[in-house]
Amino acid sequence: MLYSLIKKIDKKLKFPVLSAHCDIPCKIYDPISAQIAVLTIIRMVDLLEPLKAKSSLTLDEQAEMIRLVNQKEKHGIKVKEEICIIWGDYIKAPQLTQYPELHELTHNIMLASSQAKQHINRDAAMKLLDLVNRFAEIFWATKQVSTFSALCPYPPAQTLIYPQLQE
Amino acid sequence: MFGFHFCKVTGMSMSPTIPENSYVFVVPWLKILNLKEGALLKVFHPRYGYIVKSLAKVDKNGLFWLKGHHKTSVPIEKLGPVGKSQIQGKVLWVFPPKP
Repeated sequence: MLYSLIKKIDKKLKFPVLSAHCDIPCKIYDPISAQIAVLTIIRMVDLLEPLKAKSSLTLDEQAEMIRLVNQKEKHGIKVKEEICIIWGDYIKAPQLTQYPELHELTHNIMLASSQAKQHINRDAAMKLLDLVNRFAEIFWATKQVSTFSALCPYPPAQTLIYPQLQE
Repeated sequence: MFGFHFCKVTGMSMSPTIPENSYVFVVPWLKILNLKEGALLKVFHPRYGYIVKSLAKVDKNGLFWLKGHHKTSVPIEKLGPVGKSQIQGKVLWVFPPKP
């Protein structure tokens, strides 16, 4: 009775909502978010390089540089987060037995992502892409999904590992 | 305004103590009292927003560690500690939905 009464009052007054938050294992894992984040880093580097070559920047150029560096930084963190989630939540003993390089590869991605964040350096960003692509290749292999490499159809037009989902 | 308010609970991390869609009666000023382990608290969490959790412990730094009651709850270490200023009130009564 009390519940019904409170519910009626809620309909009128709209009580605030409290979340009793859950962390249900959803099993939704895909390295594509990390791969796209690396592409963003490369793209940011491509856009930053002309600014880097200039001896001085106008106010507009400084504003542009800040925005680009911000995005590069954000996506460097995103790469780390996305890879860590797959590594921590999905990768378990069977995958590690099959691919013992996974721990070292993940650690190398963390280091390479830091390098890509610290510098405006295309080589550092490309190294990160190679590592993340390898991670994606292993990820799909552990799911018995074959992969293919193709150029992404947008800038920075780099090679990505994609899952072959239609066979 | 009245020194208390109602909130609706979504999610099941506090089940069975607070089943999903329950209403809770929250008294904000009760947080000034000594909160004991097991107290149900309304908290503003920097990551999860407004949540309701149970007080797991108060550490030596005076920080409050929270936990859920259901196995699907975000674990205590993932929730992390919160300061007293983030506690928005103490849940005094729970009104669960009809079975």
